Amino acid sequence: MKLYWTELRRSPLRWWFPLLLVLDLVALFGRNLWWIGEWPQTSAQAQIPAFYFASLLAAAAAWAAGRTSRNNLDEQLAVAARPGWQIELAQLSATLTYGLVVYGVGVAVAASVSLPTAGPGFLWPTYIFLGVALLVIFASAGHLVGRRSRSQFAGPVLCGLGSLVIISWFGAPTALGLFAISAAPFEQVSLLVLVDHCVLAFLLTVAACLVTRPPSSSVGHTWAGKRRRQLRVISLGALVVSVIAGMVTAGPLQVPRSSPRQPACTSGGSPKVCVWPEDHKYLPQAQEMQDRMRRLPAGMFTIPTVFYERGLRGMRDSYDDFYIMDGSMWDPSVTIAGSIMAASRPKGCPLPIGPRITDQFKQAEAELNVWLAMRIFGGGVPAGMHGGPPNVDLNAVARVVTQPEGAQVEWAQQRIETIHHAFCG
Amino acid sequence: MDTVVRVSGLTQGYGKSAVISGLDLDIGHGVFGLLGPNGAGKTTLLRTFATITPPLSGTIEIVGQEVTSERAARLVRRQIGYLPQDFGYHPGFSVYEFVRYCAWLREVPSARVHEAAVRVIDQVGLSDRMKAKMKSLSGGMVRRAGIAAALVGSPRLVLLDEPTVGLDPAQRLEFRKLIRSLNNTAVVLSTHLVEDVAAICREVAVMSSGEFLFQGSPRDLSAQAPSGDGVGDTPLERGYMAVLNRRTVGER
Repeated sequence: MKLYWTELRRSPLRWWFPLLLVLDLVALFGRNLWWIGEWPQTSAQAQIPAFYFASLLAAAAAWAAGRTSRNNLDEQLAVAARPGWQIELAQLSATLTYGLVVYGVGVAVAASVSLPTAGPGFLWPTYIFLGVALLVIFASAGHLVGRRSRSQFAGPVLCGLGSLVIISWFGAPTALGLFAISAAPFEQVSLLVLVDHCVLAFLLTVAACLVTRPPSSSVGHTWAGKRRRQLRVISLGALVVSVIAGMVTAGPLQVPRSSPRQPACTSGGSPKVCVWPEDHKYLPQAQEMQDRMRRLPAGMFTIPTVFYERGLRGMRDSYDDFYIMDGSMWDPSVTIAGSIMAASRPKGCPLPIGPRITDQFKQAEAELNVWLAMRIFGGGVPAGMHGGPPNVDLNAVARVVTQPEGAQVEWAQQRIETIHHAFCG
Repeated sequence: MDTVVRVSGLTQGYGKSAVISGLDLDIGHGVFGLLGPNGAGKTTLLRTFATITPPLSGTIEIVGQEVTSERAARLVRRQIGYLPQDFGYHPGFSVYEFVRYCAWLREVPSARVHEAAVRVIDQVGLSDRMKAKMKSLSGGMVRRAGIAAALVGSPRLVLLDEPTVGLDPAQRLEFRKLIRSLNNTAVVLSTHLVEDVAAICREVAVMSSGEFLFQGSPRDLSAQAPSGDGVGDTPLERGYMAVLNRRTVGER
């Protein structure tokens, strides 16, 4: 324990600690702020700094581990009564402590800013552990490399850049799933994948502590014997490779979550908009959307009685259910508009096929869909939103939404007639 | 004599080439000097005594324990203080931290570490520099801190590889006094400096090419000097050179 404190005091990270804290807060708040008030998103966001820290910790661990050889201490460590793993573990723990403390501060800050507005629950530990596993994996790998490199710069640079490349290229949720970018309430971290990560972190820590440098490069033989050392390295290497293979084949990082017993729904009768309890903070916006749907021109549309957020009715056949993307209600508005369009199709006429699907029909349907979405959303499109369905001028439709109700009804009626003609001839 | 180190039939070397072959030796309490030219195998022998490298063949017993495995080696290492010729330290450590670190490596019981560290630092005359960073010390002070690290926890076997290199004459005298004061301890001292051997060693061995050319008291080594003028300024130097020259002549 005393050595741990000594290692902590002489770790190079003690000078970098304030900078790491700043980096943590920038990573936390610099990307966006819509995660505040929603526990799964807060948890995923709190885990994001680990993406950056993992590379830094790998470099720092390599630098710290290399000091033993650089300072010519191999010979004294070789004659230590204390098992080598304790010596290595004290050093690796000191490096990890700085990384985990900074990470922990970020998690605490994220939780504290979310707490006042968040729905039921608290941080989702699986996302937090995902970040911890990422830090341990790369710090251990850095220690392992650093212990075998005498260079002050080559090892750390190799580890830092290598880790960044590995995490960026192979760490995505769809690949090795080393980190999550966001966390919708309808999905959760796969326990199988998380356990794989934890096992890999454990194995690499064991490897970092056990597979150390031989006492001196001039020594041809040791008590353990070359063959035994090689066997140890090969066994640990094989285990690590099999765990990584397990990660590749374990499926996606995030898997569907079972539906809640009681979703959070808008009040005041039909049509209701229901969201996950974790998305409680969107209820006021959903209520406004409900009110706007009620103000749609009477008799023109058939409006379903309930609209669900994705996953509330299970993940099968959830194409009609909306998804709150990036904290904006635009995507739900588009999805809800699509549902209204589908419900409002002429009854008793077959779906148009072949030559009846004219460009005019497609444009009318797309424009009407966008118009409905804009009405439900509250006019216009969100800032930064460009493009839209093919051949639809979003700005032109946005201008329609600002016109008097009578003009809008006339504009919509023209498109409804075009659609009706395509259906019923 | 209480035997602290006992080797029999020891063959040691790197790869398949033997540096030391078929050595038998018992070392008891007191200072045992190893004299010999560069490449004689002194450091290899010390590293073997330190249990860093297992013998290629033969047996080695340290403080009554035969060392046959890493586990057995770790047990006896608690009783071994080792100062390599080119020893290392973390420059950011204070003298106290460095000595305490070495005590921790030797598994000195934690309740005893502070007292043991302070005592050896005092013994090597660095009490007033206890909190000074290792990187701020002169070469001689660093060497003294190294000696303190080797002595911390009162090991029963102390292995010192060229410990007086870098010490000024006054410090060498202090070093000799310190080594003489160690009771119930076997000290194996590898050195080039014949006067250190003359001053403090109870027994001395002259090594060349991995073989012991001579083993006996410093007085016996002095007696090896040829009558008349030999090579060297002191009787011991002349005795040492005579032993080495005999070997060289024999080889021719």
